[in-house]
Amino acid sequence: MRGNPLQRLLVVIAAFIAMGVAVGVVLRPSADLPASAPANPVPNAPQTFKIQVDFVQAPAQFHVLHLGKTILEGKGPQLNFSTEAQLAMPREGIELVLEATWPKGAPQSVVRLQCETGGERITDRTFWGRGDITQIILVR
Amino acid sequence: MMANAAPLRVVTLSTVLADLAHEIGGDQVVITNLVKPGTDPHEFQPSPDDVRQVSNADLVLASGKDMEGYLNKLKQSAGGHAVWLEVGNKLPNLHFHSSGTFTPDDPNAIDPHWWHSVSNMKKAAFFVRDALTQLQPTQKDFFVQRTDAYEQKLDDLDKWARLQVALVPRDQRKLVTSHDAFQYFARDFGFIIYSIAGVSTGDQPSSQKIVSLIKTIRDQHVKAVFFESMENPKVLAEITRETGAKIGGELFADGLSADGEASTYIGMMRHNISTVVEALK
Repeated sequence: MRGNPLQRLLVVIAAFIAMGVAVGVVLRPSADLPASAPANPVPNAPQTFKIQVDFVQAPAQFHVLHLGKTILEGKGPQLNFSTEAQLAMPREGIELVLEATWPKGAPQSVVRLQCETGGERITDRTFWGRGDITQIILVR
Repeated sequence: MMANAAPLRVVTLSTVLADLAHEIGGDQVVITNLVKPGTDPHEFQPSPDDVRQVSNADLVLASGKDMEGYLNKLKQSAGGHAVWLEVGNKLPNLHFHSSGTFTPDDPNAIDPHWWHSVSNMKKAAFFVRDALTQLQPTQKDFFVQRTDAYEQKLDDLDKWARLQVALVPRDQRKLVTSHDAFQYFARDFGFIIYSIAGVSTGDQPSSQKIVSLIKTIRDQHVKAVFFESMENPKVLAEITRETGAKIGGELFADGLSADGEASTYIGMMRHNISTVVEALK
């Protein structure tokens, strides 16, 4: 390279700056993406669960609880109930409490609880009972 | 029922068994409990008067599972005609196990604190009923009736306990306790146990173990630690200071209290469950 040393130094610095700008443009996050997307999904982020409860004999009343809060409840003469709930699902799973009461004198009956998330059925349990039942169902 | 049947003399080596013998035997038993409330059963040694009580007993109820290290000596020195029932020996063993970064002192040791499982207590009630019936067959109906009534109370307790524990998220069911006495409780209710001391209250934790426990409590985001007595408050204070975990309250691990809520088995279980749930939910 010809020219005086100062000119050569300026050319080198300019080349570095140009390269830096080019690299910066390439690495700049897209406006459509979050600045720092997590490597893995948040483990306890709430997800949508579809919960369905079906009775053969109409219940006097029933409810489904998660951590003490009612997420589905109802009573006869309806037989089929469902809801969608946002629940945080830790690796250890979640517990749903199903409490159902049938009218006095009703014969032994059956109740089915199904739970779906992400299009996949992850729980399908059937319980027999007379009078009332209380069941704790582990979902994971 | 024979009106004039002499009550059976029952000696118990734990407050839990004394309560159980009372529930099943009613006024058909006279109970002498040698290990008083507040006495550490891991450290208990029978006195000469205790040996005399055993000599005159019809039935001796022990926890078993090596809880009473003095049992053979007591049997030999007492003599007598008593039937001995080591209740825990008729129940399945539960070994201690590692949890995450935390390793128990002796992974081969068996947890002798079987009564922290309500289902174990129901089986124990049947064993005691059968032993009393064998000694006093004329009172069979009386013992069966009382056992059935107690079984119903234990079923109610179990249902209540499971509903209470359902208030605690499963990823928060981590129990830091003074000594390793809650493996049966953990199995039944889905907890992981991290204990400060070992299986016996006499086991003292090493500094290495404390460091490991502090790391585990931080890593696992454990919300509370529980104590049984303030034998070593410095250790507990250090753990809460280093981890930010709170003091969850007092648990009854080795027996019942002299009075108050935890003076019966059912009351003791209700106290322990309520204390744990309140601190961790």
